[in-house]
Amino acid sequence: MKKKLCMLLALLLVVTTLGACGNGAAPASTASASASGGNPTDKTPIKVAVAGPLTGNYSEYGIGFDAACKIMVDKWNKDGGINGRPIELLSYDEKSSTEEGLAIAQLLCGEDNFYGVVGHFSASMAVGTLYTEERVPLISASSSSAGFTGQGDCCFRLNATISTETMGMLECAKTAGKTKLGVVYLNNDWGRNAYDNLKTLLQEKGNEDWEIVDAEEIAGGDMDYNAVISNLNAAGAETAIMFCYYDSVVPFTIKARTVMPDLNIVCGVNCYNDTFLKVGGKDVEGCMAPSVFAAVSDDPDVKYFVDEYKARTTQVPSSLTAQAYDAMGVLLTAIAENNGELDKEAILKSIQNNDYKGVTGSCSFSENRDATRNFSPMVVSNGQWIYY
Amino acid sequence: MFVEQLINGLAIGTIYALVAVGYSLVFGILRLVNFTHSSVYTLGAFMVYVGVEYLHLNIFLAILFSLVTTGFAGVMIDKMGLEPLRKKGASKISAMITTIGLSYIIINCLNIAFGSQIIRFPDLFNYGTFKLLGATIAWQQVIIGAVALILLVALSIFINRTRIGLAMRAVQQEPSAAAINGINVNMIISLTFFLGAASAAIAGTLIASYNQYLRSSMGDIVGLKAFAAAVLGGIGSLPGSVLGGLIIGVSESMAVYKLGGSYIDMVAFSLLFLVLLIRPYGILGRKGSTKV
Amino acid sequence: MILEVKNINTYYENIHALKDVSLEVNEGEIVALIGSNGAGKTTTLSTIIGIKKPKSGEIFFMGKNITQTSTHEIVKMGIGLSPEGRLVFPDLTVEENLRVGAYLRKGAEIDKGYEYVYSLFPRLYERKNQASGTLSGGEQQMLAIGRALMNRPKLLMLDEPSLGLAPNLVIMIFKLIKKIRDMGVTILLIEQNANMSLHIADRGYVLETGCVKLADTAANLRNNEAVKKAYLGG
Ligand SMILES: Nc1ncnc2c1ncn2[C@@H]1O[C@H](COP(=O)(O)OP(=O)(O)OP(=O)(O)O)[C@@H](O)[C@H]1O
Ligand SMILES: [Mg+2]
Repeated sequence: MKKKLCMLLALLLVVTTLGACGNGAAPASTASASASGGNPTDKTPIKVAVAGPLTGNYSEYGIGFDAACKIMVDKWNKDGGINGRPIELLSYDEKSSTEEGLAIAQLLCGEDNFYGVVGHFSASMAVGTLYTEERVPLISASSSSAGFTGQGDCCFRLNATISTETMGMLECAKTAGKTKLGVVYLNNDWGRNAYDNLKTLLQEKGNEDWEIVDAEEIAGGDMDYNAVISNLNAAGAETAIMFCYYDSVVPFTIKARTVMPDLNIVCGVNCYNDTFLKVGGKDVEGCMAPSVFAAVSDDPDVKYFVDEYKARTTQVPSSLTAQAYDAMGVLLTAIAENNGELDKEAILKSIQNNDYKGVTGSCSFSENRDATRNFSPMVVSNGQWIYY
Repeated sequence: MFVEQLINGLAIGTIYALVAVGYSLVFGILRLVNFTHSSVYTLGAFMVYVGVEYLHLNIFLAILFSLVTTGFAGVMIDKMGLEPLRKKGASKISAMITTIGLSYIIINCLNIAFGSQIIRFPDLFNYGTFKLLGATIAWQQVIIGAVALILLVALSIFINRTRIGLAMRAVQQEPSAAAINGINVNMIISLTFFLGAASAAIAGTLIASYNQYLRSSMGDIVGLKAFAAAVLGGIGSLPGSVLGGLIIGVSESMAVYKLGGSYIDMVAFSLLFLVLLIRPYGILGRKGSTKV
Repeated sequence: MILEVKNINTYYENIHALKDVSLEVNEGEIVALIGSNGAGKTTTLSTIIGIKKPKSGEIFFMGKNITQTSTHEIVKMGIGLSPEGRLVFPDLTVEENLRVGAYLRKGAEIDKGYEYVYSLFPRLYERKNQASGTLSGGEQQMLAIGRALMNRPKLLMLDEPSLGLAPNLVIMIFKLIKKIRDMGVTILLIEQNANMSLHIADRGYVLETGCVKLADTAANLRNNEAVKKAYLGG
């Protein structure tokens, strides 16, 4: 009796392992078949992924990435997918944690029929080498760390580097004709970096067009900004260059409006979002920011994206969200470009050499895989970001 | 510039003072650091928001609504969370941990109900600015400082000049002797929680109106600094709390003026550290018995 | 009978401090409660005034059952206590302490109270604006008694009023106790100084390890051999 039971168990074990092997093997074989032939009758989905924080402190970014990528993938699927094959979007929650992001990357690298990732937020600097080893293209819509693309030749950045963004902010100040700068920067790596970068930029330019009259390091968040504003006022600042997140820019701006009503406030791309406008209300009217994306644009592609995004989320897409949308566009175009030859190296090459025009403008990459971004000065008017 | 920064410091300092008084009141009576205080401060501001936004009350009724509900919440914190512990003779540490836990519960409820984002708050007293000795001063600051100061004076008169205030002081100094003089000690404790919570609610409302926004995390830093102010001035001492609040407010604005804004959160605790080295019971605090 | 204590049992956690204690106090009497350290004298007073609740037994004050009544209500009904260790409010002035004593009184009654207490203790009047924590031990004792009198209690309970006082002050305090009684206040008195207390008392109870061992008139107790030996120094 006991023996029989053992045999039965052993049999069961063999069967299940075989089954598991079979499951694993099947899609792999079709993948190789399609790779070699590009069989038009093959309906196996082509998988791509979006990873970002859907929960936790930075959830608003991840939720935006997720919605934008879905819109792009849906659009492609409506047009018949790639080579007749449907596109499947895998969506992962990075939970605002580096560890979680790394775990997701490992999971994705084990997927079959899988050709690229858009995103990562908290873990951007941790996952690049892994994807590069596995030859999986990673296109970040948000990273601004200098070393991001240096992680490997599979890491692309569809976001401005700090220098480009800062240059955009300086142009805002110049356009407004208020070039005496008071720099307000957050006391973290990013904020200090941005300020150092600004100083270097001005030195390179020979300091002609702009002058830094004051620089204020801030703790951010719910601090009392009056003391900082008094300093700016005394120094005679005309423009405040804000290297901080919108949750500091809004409180700062509200306070500044009372004491320094003429202060021109220039913030970074991260303020190009709906929440900034909503909570800032009348006080953020006149705030400037450089942006690669203008939701108010008449361009039909932009209109399609904005309308679709509004319909799905009731919000206007932010600049970073628009970049995620384009990143997915670049990825899918590159996959489609190779006539169904789903060769990873060929796809990487196509991404590198793309001439994709997206809602954020040209998405071509430099040699070191950073996108050249063209900023336009934007200003808040009647509760909307419009061209200055 | 100096005058301007001094005014900035005094304005925020009176707010710290108003919150610090709440810590002191409860500490004086129960010898307990009430860590729900910062969340009650936040709750107070949110209750005004609820009054205006959801109940469509005018702003004064909304503030009244907040005073009553927040004050009552303060009483409930004691009745439901702390009184049972006192009756069972639990240690001060368990009571303190309870207040930390309750604080998280309150903030989490606010998060669930309103989210963690910035919410705009009505600007109650924005009357522009005026010049004084070459400094630009916002009326807001003057009004906030004045309101807080009037409340502090009123509270001080209440405690020092009224029969109930006398009973509060008696309970503080010798709880066992208070009862045998006919004082209903539990009632006085509830009243103390009510006053502490109501003054926190006013402080929260003033700050929300000063900043013109609120959010569930608004009490985190203010709560800590006000606690530092209370200890700095001598916890349990009303004048001490006021002094501590003003000192911290002014030294913060001076730090921004002379050192830069990132020092703002460090000043309070550095000062606290220094003062406690020299005077372990705070500036106006005394060993053993403490006075409100 | 103004106070009747019937078979009370009081515990501190698992310490059985009072075991079936019964006693009676009649209106206008001075009743002395004597016993050695730890006998349960203070616990008896605490239980009467409701600071400690007995596990069993009943307490009646002027015919009303006050066993489960809260302390401030009992005080309102007319029992006053000058507690062991005085327990004055140290940061309040003398007059503020007296004011707390009159917490349940209003307007003119309070002023009358001050007059009454100051006439009994002229010393307190001289010191009325002094923080009571800085008073001498004897002065604090006067203040504790004065504070208890401010509420015009019908029954005044005194827990060791002469403790730590100089001999001349002890005599003064005992004279005062008689004077207070003559003004119509019933008195329940705890004293280490059994000799003195049995001299001014009408009746007395002897407490030993939580039990009432003897109950008799003061005169009889004074002449009781056992009492003489244990409490009256032979
Ligand atoms: N708070 C307390 N916790 C535990 N035990 C107590 C407490 N108070 C008194 N006791 C105990 O109860 C018993 C009676 O104490 P009580 O204070 O009534 O004595 P007493 O007769 O007043 O003595 P003394 O003359 O020293 O004042 C003692 O054994 C004492 O140790
Ligand atoms: Mg005793």
